[in-house]
Amino acid sequence: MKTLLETRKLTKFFGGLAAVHEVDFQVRESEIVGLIGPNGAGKSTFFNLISGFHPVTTGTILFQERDITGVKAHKIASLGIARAFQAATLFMELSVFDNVFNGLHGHYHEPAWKAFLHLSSVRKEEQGARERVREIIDFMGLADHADRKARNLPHGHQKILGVCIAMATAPKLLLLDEPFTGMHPEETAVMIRVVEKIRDSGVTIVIVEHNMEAVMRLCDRIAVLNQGRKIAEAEPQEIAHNPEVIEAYLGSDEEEL
Amino acid sequence: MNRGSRKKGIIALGCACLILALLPFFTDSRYFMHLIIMTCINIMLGLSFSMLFSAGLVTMGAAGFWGIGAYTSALLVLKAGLSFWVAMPLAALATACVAFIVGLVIIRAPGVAFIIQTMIVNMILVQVFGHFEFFGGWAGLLDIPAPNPIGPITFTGKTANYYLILMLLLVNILAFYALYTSRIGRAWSAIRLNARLAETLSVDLFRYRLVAFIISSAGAGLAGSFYAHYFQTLEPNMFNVFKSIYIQIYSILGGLNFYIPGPVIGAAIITFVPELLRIGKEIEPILTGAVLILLVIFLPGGILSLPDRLGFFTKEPLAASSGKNSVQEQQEKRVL
Amino acid sequence: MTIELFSQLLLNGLSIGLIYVLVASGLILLLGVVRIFNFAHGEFYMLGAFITFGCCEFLHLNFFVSIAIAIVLVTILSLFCYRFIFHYIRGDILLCTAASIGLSMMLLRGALLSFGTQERGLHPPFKGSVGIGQVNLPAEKVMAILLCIGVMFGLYWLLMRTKVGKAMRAVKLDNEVASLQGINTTRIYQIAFAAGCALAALAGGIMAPVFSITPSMGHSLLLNCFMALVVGGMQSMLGGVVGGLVVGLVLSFGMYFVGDLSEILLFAVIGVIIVFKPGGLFGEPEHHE
Repeated sequence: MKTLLETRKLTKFFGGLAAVHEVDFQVRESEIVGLIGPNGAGKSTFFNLISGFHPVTTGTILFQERDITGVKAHKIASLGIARAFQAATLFMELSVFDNVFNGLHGHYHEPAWKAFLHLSSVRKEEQGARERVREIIDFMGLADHADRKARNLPHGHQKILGVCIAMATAPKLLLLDEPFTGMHPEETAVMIRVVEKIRDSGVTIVIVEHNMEAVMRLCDRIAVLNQGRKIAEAEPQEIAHNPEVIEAYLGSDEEEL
Repeated sequence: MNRGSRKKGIIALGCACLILALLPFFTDSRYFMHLIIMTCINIMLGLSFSMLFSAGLVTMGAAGFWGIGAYTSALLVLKAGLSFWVAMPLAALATACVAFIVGLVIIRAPGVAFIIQTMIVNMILVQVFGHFEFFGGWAGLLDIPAPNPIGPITFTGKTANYYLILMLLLVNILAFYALYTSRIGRAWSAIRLNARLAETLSVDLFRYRLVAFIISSAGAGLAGSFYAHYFQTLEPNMFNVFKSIYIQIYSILGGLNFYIPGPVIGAAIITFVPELLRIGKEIEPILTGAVLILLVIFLPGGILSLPDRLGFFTKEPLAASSGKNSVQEQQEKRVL
Repeated sequence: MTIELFSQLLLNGLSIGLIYVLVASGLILLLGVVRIFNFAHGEFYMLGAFITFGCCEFLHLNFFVSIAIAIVLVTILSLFCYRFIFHYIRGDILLCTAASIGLSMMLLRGALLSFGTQERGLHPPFKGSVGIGQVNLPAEKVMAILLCIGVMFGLYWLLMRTKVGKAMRAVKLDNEVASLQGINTTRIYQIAFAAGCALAALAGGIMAPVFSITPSMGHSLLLNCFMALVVGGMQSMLGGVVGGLVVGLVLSFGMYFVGDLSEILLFAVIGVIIVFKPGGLFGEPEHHE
């Protein structure tokens, strides 16, 4: 299987502190890889580096074997890396439909000036986009809420909407940042099904998460970060018994594995 | 926006156009016509502010670009002998060019820094207009000719100028409306509501903000060109930060979330009400200040947010926020 | 250029710049902790100057006592403003800008109507001039410099060493986390707001004997303080200090060499800085969300 995403000695310093320290990491196509570690381990920073939100201090990031280190966030999004955020990051004032519709922004072929003139080619394209939005909303199970304002959705649905928007960009790689945080058990079950569906549709996924049950269930491989360094990487079962990993968690008052 | 409300919008616009077109026949007062014309100019300026706001940028320098358009147009006619009809589009173009250069520098500035930098740009422009004799210095430019006649139509009276500004305003509104309902307008909204999320959706923040900056400034410049040849006198202090502040007030009063109707209502009220109430120049700032404060506290969404606040429309509006909490939250995350 | 001239211009620039530092620090405090942009800040400065003047001239009080009274009165006014205006719009930059502009209009026009446009001068509490090396500075300017430096150290001590100061810094970093830690954020906002405005009034009092006192003195000062914020960045006190000093020095040297064009020189300096650092020398990096 081809390597979709790779980081080599990826390092990020904030002032004197290394938030991410020489992390080597690979993700192969169609995998689900988990990224776990105690709070402050650098997981979110790692995601921010890949998404292009922070400049890299040293190291490289390769996507589909192309160097994307230092590429701007919006370009990285067009390359096919999508991101769902930790806190529900949505267009709160827009409806569910409009939220997902915005996700299609990067996929219009007709040029902007034609969009300004509202030419029929553009209208047709947008009609197609609207249908695609309906598909995605149905696929993710939010069809009943299509017209509700994102702000009025329950928390679990908001997180699913976040994933919806990311999926609308038709990504090859989806970075999920703590999708299960703050969810009730029923919502968690729904999200697990959503992630599985996404994987089945051919998208590669990297999940940062604290909910061990979900991580064990979903991931093909798990990498563990602690204080910016990768301290372990293996299949779920092995990780659970890795002494260093247990140490890292116990040392920082985390939930047990 | 769905079919039904679009139809309603077109009918409303059509009626408004009809009434406005017939207006000169119902009044003899030159003063009243002057106020209407000034209102139209102010609406165009407010539209400029609102466009930037729609992309998440707050400008306190719109008057400066109004000035660039005015001075460019006046100078092209006075010194280069061009016809007004050639000078006007050139003035708008010149304003767009300046906006491009200025934008390249200041759009990168975060939050409050951007606002202050637009103020500084405005101040620089006023200093430039005042310092150099080429622009007429602090005494300004006088005796700027009215627009050249088109066939039998001369622009010496109020009526012809009124129709001209009305048409410019209409073009402005239609162009902006076309933008807002296109993917460009959606990108601006996305940037305003959640810039970080917009970035992950392939929206190039810098480019879209710059485009908003250029187009909105060009609109102001167009209004400036008309103003120069209507008022026929230009002074640097007409284009200072105070005017920019007033332009901001048009949109706040009308409703920040209503990019087109907001400035229309706000500019109309601000232009007319002080005149009608004959408020002395002495205490006018005190009243304006008090109204502004009350507005911001009690009706932050502006006048057009009243129907929503009073619960007239039960269906959730598609892309509007009315409560101050939502505006506050978005602003907090975005600007700071 | 002689050493004398240079020192003269330098000290002159410092005395102007330090006032900008004081007022800008107040603005940064408001912006960072309370998340409010206060356009009316210049008017608090102006009121500080007027009250100090009034107490000295009409009540014949001691200069320092007058400043203290000015600070107290302006602080009360500012708390009033916070309670009834800013409390509701905290965090929303545009609404804060609009409301504080409204407040500024009211205060400025009110002052104009009450005090008239005539310039007043406060007789300096200390006469004569002070010789520093080969340079002579009027005593009140030297006093102003010393007072400003003293206040800045006091502010540093307040923010770094006291409980209240640390709470303010916590709130600035993240007000949600701060309230979870048990900090009464509402109280902190009030204190920070009052402190920021007190700084402005203090600056006004200090400058009362130095500059002429007019109702619009706050307005022109505020513009220069904004420049200081653009230069130094709005993130930290250090930015305020550097920004204020840069503006003061540029104006001082500029006034001597290019006279009227000193403002334009300042604009040019700012222009160069923001090309390389859009958020100011110590400010946030590029608009990056």
